[in-house]
Amino acid sequence: MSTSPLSASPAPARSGAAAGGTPHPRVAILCDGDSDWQSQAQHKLLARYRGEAQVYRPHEFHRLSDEIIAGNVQLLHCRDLQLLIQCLWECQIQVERWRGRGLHIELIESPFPAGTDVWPVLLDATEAWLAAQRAARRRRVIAGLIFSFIAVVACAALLFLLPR
Amino acid sequence: MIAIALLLTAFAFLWAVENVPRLLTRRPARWLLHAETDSPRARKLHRALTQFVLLAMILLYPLLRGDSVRGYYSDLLGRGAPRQALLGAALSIFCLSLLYLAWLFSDNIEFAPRHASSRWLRKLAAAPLTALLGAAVEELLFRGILLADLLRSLPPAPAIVIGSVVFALAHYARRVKRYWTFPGHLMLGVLLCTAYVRTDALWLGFGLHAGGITLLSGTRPFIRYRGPAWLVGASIFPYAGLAGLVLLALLTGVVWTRLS
Repeated sequence: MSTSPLSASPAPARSGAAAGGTPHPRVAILCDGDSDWQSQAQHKLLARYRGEAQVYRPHEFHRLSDEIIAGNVQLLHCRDLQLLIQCLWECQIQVERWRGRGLHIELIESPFPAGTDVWPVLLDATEAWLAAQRAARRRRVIAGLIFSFIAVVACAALLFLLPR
Repeated sequence: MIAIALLLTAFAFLWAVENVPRLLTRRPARWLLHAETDSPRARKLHRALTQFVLLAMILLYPLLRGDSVRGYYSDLLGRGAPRQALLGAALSIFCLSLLYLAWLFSDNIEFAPRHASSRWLRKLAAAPLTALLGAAVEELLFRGILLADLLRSLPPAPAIVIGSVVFALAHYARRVKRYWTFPGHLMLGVLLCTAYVRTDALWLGFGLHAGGITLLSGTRPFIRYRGPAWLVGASIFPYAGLAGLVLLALLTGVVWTRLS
């Protein structure tokens, strides 16, 4: 695993919502609240992009996805693949749309050799996610039909036992 | 047919109040009530006016028929026994609870507070009163006035059909989030009209209605729907999904065959 040589910064932490920064940032930094990482990588990156970057925490991932799909965010910095996939899942998997907007992704702690394209990995994750969603939906519908049927039959049995 | 004329006049009046100012300022009229997205104050005013018009209709109808308000409603509420309301409430709460239980077991809904405790406590406390008021106004209007009026000139079956269609349509006279819930309102209308026709009284329908609203608004702050809307409905409309519609049909059958 390669790690970028990022040093600590004294600048205070800020997030997209709290910072009141640029409304349509060009650069996004994904953050999961890890304080060690925040105090180093995040502030270094914010300093590097000087007002063009915003930090997005998990509850802001949907807003980030909207910015990417609108074509505003062009570069996404993320600590690792796991956080990136978590973000994608939170946003109902928009990989194809993100890719279609020409988004470039930089993993700070990347399990791949430098220059590796991360999109195929993300597309695989997408497929897995969609398959899991479809299976869960199918299970839910079948179970829902069976249990609803049982409930209706139980209701019918009890209601028709009512005295006239 | 005085009741239908009264309902149409009331809709026309509310529509005019909202749309004449729009037309005068060269803005396009809107077909549905409360379609305005102007100020919260204007929306509140329109809602208050709607409540006033509903009350006015309830008071005006006996007078248009040549009765006294007191005489008409004494006769209406004197029929049947108030304990039928308790039976109705028990029936609707029991059936809806069984459905929720089925969906909870099948992972189609989950129970989790959707608001801060102070907010859901407020909503929970308001649920019974909201249910009593809502059910009372709707039962007086749609069964006590509309259906009773239809039954004076039509046999029960067409009166139930027309009464149910008007009841369902009235829920969509204003702008709403969901329109696919219409069959649910229609079937609910059939159940409530059947309850009135079979018991010749408002009490059973009032109980069914109030019990249902109490459970729906009482559980709303805690329920998240995960299953498909065609099966389990959504929000306060679990009766608009397939399972809910079947259950309403079943309740109608029970009321028709056993509660006359």
